[in-house]
Amino acid sequence: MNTHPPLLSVSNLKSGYFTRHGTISAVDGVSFDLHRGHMVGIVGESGSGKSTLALSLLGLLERPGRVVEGEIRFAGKNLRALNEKEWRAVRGRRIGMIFQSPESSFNPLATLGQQMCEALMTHQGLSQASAREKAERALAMVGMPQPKEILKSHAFELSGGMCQRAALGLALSLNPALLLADEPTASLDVLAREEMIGLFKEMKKRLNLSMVIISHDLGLIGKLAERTLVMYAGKIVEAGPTWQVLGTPRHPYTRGLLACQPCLDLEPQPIPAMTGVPPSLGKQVTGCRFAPRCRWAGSRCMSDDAFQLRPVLANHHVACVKSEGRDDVF
Amino acid sequence: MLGIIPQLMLLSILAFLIMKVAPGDPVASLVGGREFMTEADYQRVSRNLGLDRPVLVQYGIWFENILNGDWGRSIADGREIRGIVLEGLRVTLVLVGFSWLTITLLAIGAGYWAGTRAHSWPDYVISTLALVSFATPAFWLGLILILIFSVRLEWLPSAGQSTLGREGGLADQAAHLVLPVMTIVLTHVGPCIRLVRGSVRDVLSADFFRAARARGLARTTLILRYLLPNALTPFITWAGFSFPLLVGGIFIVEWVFGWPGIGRLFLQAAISRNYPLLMAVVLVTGVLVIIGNLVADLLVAWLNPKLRRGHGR
Repeated sequence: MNTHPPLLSVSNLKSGYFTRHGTISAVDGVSFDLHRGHMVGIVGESGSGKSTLALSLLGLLERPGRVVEGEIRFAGKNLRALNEKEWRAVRGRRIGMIFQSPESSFNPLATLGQQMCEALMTHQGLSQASAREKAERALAMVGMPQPKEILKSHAFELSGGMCQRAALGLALSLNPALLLADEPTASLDVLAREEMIGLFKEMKKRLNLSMVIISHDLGLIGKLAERTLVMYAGKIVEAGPTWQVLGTPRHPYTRGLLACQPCLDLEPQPIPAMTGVPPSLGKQVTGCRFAPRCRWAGSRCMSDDAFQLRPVLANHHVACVKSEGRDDVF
Repeated sequence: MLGIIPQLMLLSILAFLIMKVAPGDPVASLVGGREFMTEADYQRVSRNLGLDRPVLVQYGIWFENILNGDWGRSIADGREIRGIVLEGLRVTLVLVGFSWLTITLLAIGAGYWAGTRAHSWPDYVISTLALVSFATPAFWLGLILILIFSVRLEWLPSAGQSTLGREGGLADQAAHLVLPVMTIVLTHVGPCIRLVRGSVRDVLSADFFRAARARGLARTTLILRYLLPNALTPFITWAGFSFPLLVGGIFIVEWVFGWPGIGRLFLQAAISRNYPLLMAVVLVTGVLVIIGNLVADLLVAWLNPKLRRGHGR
């Protein structure tokens, strides 16, 4: 067990979007810890609240969305108490973030060099020349072949994989303690994805990097994260060590997600799609929110506490009434 | 670049044909009507002006002269057209220049302000005013402004570009500019504000802007390097295109305020069927539109690195 206090500790975080047509609770009481040098993976379908969670962690949720409740402790500080100015000293400098679509990480009108230098000059007070040098080193570190040339290019002149590398290089050049990655491989081709995974592994080892990876790509999570959280309808439905969650999933939703993964090693066979769609998050529902799509749903699933996380093993929690105590229910 | 010449030829042919097809008679309008001249006089004047020749020959003569740099003489008073048109153009450019500058500054200021406060009450106020401005006819607003500021309050002059006998006084000329500029600005600024507001909103919700915020950049950096350059590109393009359109489009304002510009010349020439003058005005406006489009294209290419790089490789 880790005796140090966690680097990031999220407890009972609730974020929602407040519109004229009602309130949407996109993140509904999420808690997890992340220790230094570790990676936690958050998986779930589109609309499960993963990206809202990531934006909440960096205080980037914009009107009509906002964080409603809960605590985000990062390196001993409560991030929810920060004002905009204090946030700017955290964003980029202490917590870096990379996004899904690599080209849209960069200003289309400026070169990568201008943008990397500007971040380095803002956060580390470097001169133009030393910022440029440091940017070159950061690009070289993430495996860019000709950093000098890359710094002179615009994002649209690079491939998606190159852009994502550059975005990672920019984030890491500021030496953040924590990196948030929101679907970092979703828009990359298979080769670029493999390269990114290798790069994340290397950076983790070299820089003792802590990461929150948000993805619906279970393969990516399986290769990188020590712990995996499965999100559904704004809540965590299963949390545990990655090998347990992906190896012996307890929640029917996690099983459904795993069943949808194409497997290249076996004979080609039809991929079973999960039926139904995630519920709309506007209305309050009692009982298990996955029950309408679950083929094992029964009367007990409608009880008020059916969607609460409960321990099934040490370190492994599942929000399913049928998972309690036994693991051969399904 | 060379495409300009066939464009201008086509323009001149079309203008010539429309002019000839339209009813009206330049000879008759010289004296105020056919009934005021004898048939013999009418024939003589027509022959002198070359108006008795076939239309094609008339165009040919005009075309040959223009190639030799001879713009012809005004039918109405026999003055050199070249001088009349260039003076009108200069006067119009003064009016359009000031209006355009004011529109640009107002559009950027108000558009940015409304765009960063979308769906708040100041945004609604600005957006409503923009729509009202869009829907207001210039001739009506011009007359209302004259009524208020010249007739009632007697603050500002209502016509011309300077007071007779005081030509050259800067303050006097500025005072004469106020009302026409105000009319043009108020009737044209609306869509510009909406355009800037829209692109400011687009950038604020763009992924790259969120990524920049996630980097913890300073507010001024975000605004000056990310928001404004990206949000103003569409407007700058539009402003480039709209400049020559303004030159051709404010003739009503020039008429209302007695501004001796090219638009008023056009109206006068059209009313008195002053063919050579009409042709010159159409041609000069056409050249301006083409140059404006060219400048706008160059601006866009200069602002957008995608296009800039496209030519270099």
